[in-house]
Formats: sequence, structure tokens, C-alpha cells
Amino acid sequence: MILLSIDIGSTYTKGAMFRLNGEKLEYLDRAVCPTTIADLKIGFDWIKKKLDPKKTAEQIFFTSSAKGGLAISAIGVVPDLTLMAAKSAALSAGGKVVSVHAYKLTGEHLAELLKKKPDIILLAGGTDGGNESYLLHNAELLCHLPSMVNCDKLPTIVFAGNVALKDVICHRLSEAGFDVHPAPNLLPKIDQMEPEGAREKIRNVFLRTIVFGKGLDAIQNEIGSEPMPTPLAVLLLVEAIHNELPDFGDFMLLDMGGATTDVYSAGGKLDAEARVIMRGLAEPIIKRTVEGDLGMRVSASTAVDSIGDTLSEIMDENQRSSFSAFIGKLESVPEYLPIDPEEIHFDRCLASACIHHAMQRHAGTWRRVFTAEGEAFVQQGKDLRQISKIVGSGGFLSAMSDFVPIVIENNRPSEIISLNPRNYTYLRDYNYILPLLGAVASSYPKQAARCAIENLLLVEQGGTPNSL
Amino acid sequence: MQPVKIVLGVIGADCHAVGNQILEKIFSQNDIEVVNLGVMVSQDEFIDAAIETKADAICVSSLYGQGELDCEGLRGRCIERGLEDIILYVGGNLVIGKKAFSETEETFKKMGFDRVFSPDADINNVSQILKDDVAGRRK
Repeated sequence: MILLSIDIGSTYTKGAMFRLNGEKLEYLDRAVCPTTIADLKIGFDWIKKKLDPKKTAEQIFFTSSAKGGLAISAIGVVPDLTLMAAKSAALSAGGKVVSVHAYKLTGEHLAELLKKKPDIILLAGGTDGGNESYLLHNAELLCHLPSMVNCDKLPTIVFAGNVALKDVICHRLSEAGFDVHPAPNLLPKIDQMEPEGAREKIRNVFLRTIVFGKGLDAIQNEIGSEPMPTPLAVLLLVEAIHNELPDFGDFMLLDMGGATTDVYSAGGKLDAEARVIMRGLAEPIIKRTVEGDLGMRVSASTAVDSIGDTLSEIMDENQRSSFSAFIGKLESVPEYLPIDPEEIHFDRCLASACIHHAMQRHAGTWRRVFTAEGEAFVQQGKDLRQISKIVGSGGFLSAMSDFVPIVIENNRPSEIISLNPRNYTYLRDYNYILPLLGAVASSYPKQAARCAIENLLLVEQGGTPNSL
Repeated sequence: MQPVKIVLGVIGADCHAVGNQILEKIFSQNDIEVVNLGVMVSQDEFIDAAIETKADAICVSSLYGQGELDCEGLRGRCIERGLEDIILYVGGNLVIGKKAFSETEETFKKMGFDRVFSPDADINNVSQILKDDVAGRRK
């Protein structure tokens, strides 16, 4: 049976063809064309025809990145509790967190939130039967939003807070003009995160928000299935590899694009060892983070703002002015490819720094403390030190046959130790098909997982900037 | 006025039981209703008891030097679970090593405690301060 998987990205539409034969999924071919923004179906049809002129495909999967991911503003009460749970749920639903707000919202916060143009506001707060006052205050303040923006630009609200206020708040918000979707509380009990309900609502909103217009609805009608958010597809694939191929072991996946650097980890230690005290909400086994400020093209200049220190560390002083010029070029022409050795070097430096910081933000930390029994460590987040495989995907990482991302052991203040992998082999998605396989994993997890592994290439130590 | 009600206990893995008994006795003598959870009490046990008994304050003791670690995040949990207005007191040998008490006090106040008491605090005074704080909160 022939399967097609097509991903409509913000810049490129990509497709891959596979043959499914019982337990075996075989990769056959791949095609790319620029995304046809005015009517997405034109590009989609072109890819379909290119890959499969005789129309032999029996099943077609399609994913869409929806402008680089659904923009979500997360609102919670305590930063380490409901806000953390909201952020985590938004990311695991394939969203991009554009702003976060804790405790009581103010008019200023509201203005800041509007500037970020979220598609969804994820409103959380309070355990079930717990806090009401903050949640009520925040909901009441959100009711001012409709008078501040055009109705068609009003974000959809997913309510996932204290169940005691679900009816009251959802009623109040829809009266104010919002499209509101109630979900089960993300944090029904203080140590029990339950993101699935909110995840499902976010996915539904994704389907309704992006499917309408621009040809996606026509595609949906033609092939008879709904699109999936691209990041969710990648998450499904990571999940499938983790569940179906336990021999592959714990791993991380880096998906670096022009606009974001996404980091996934499957596994890692969640329980404390001796002399380690766990803090914070337990993180999911399959964890995803998205760094919207770190990217190779559209976000190259914001990356320089965020991680300029690391960049200047790994670059010679005399290169800095030409590096700035290079970043300027990337900003005006996002599809720009480096032309000379210096620019190639710059591209690698940028990639190294983005990956390093994205991984630091993803991994857990140890903070050294002193107790009655002597030295101990307070662990926040996941311990990924034992992870032995890192997989690279995305335009740059898929193409580079001699680039190995290097994790700096520690560049945080000395008391904080980053729990990133120490010894690992690096594998490259050299056909750049992992996101496309992700959609296939929704129906054929085992086959897609195996096919993904078979299409990875080991990269030996290569030309990464030395000091990183 | 309704009597002041507190939830009392020794936090974390700390099992210093004697001081806890003394505290209960003196608070009670000062007409404070004490819900004493004893030793080795977790943050959530304090909060559970305070919710169920509608207590005015949570009074946390710590004597084994790990108080800072054990108390971190207590205020945040109180807020999420609906006790945003509860009074939080802490006292005992809160940190190990020689540190000025003012420094320790500042650390715990930053963590959201309303008052911080040193090992030599007179519990009769503490009782009076507590009553005043509760009266102020109930207004």
C-alpha cells in the first residue's frame, strides 16, 4: 500500500511517499515546493502529482504548521504550579507559547498579551476546589479584551482551571464575546498534572482556526481527513519510537527551523537519587519545548539578541562586524543560503549557539545546597545526563553531514548544574522526513517508528566551532 | 471574636517532638485553638488541615537545619489551593551554619512567610502577635 504524507509549512510544502507492507514501512521519495500562500491546495496538489503521478496512494496524511505553530498565551496563578502546567500543556499540544502571565493580571499585562497576538488564551489557575479569587479576577479582566480588538482577531479561550468556577467563568467570557472551550483542570490536585483534556481542546481550536480558508478545507474535503499540527506529528513520532522501540533507548530530538528551535526528550530520569531532592511538578516522559526566539532565519536576529554572549564567545573578534552583516541578510531574505566559507562558518556558529541554549532551557538543573547530612542537590526538571542518542532534524541539521551539536557542560552560575546529556551519539535525519513520518505514526506507530530509525545516519565528530 | 485557630507541625523529615508539644501547650494556654499535626509533616498536610479546619494560620517549626528547603514553595501551594489569605509563621533552627537572624528572616519573608521567629522567641509573645495579626486579617 502506498502512503503519502504532505506537510504545508510557512515557507515550504514538503511531501514524502512510503510503501507499507505489513509490518514494514519503506521510504520511497520526497518532494518540496514553495508554499502557495494564496491557495495552499495548489502546492499540495503539485507535490501530490510530483510524487505520485499515477495516483496509487491509498492513504494521504497532511500536516500544517499554521504560521509556525499556534500562538498561545498561558495564564496561571503560581509560576511554578498552574502556570508551569499550562505552559507544558500548550507545548505538548504543538503550540508556541508567546506570553505567560502569573498571579493577578493588570491592564499592562493585557496590553502586552495583545501585542503577542495569541490565537488561544489558555486560562488556568487553582486546583479543583482551590483558589478562586485570582482566576475570577483574571477572567474578569479578560472581559475587557473584546473592546480593545476587532472581533475577528479575538483569541479563543481554553479554560482549564478550578472546576468550581468552570460554568461561571465560561458563561461570563462568552457573554463578553469570546469563543470559550471548557477543559478539565490542568492541575486538579497539586502534584497531579493532567494536560490531555486541554491538549484536545487546543487541537480542536487549531483545526477550526487554520482549516478555514486558504484551501485547507478543500484539501480536507478531498482526502477526507483532518490536518494535524506539524509539531504534534513530531511529538507523536517521538512517542512512537519511545513506546514501540524500547531498544532504541532514551533519546532527544532537535528540530531546528528558520523560526524556532524545538527540543524533544523521551525518557530521562524523573526520580531522585540519593542526596537529590526533587522540586516542582513532575515533567512528562515525552517532553517538548519550543524556543521562539532561537532560529536559523526568521528568528536569527532575535537569537542574536538572546544569546549574543555565546555567539561572541565562539567567534573571533574581527569576524563580528561581518557576522552582523550576515544576520542582516538573513533577516531581509529568509531563504538565503551561505555562499562563502565565512558565511558557512557563521551559519554553524548560529546553529551551535541556538542548539546549546535550547537544550539548556529544556533540560533540568541541579542546585547545590547544604543540609544536616552534608551536600545535596535540588533537582528541577528532568535529568537527561544518561541519554545516549541525539537526533537532528530540520533544514539545517538534516543537510549538514559534518556537524555535531555540542552540549556545553555548564555555562550557568556555578551553583547551578545543567542536566544535559554527557556522552551521546548524534544521528541525522538525512532525508528530512521525520515530521512527515510523524503524521504516518498517528495510524501506524510501530512501522513509522522503525522507518524513522532506519533513515537516520550517524554523524562522526565534525566541524563544530571548537570552543563550544 | 471566634477563637484563633492554627495548624501546627514540624515540617519535612524533622522529628523533633518535644518542642512541638511545648508549643501546643503554650498556644493552648493563650486561648488559641491548636490543630497539631505533630512531626514530619509535609507542606500539603499543613494545607489539607488548614482547609478542613478553616484555620487562621499555619505555624511551621523546623529544628534540623533544612527549614529553607522544606518551606520553599509553601506560599505558592497555599495560593493554588485557595488559601491565599492564610497567615504563615515559621520558627526554630531554620538554617545551619552561623548566619545573622536578620538574614534568615529576610529569606523566609521572601518565601512568603508573614513572620519568622528565632529559637529564643517567647511563645507567649508570639501568641499575642498572632492574635493581633488574625484580628487584623479578619477585619
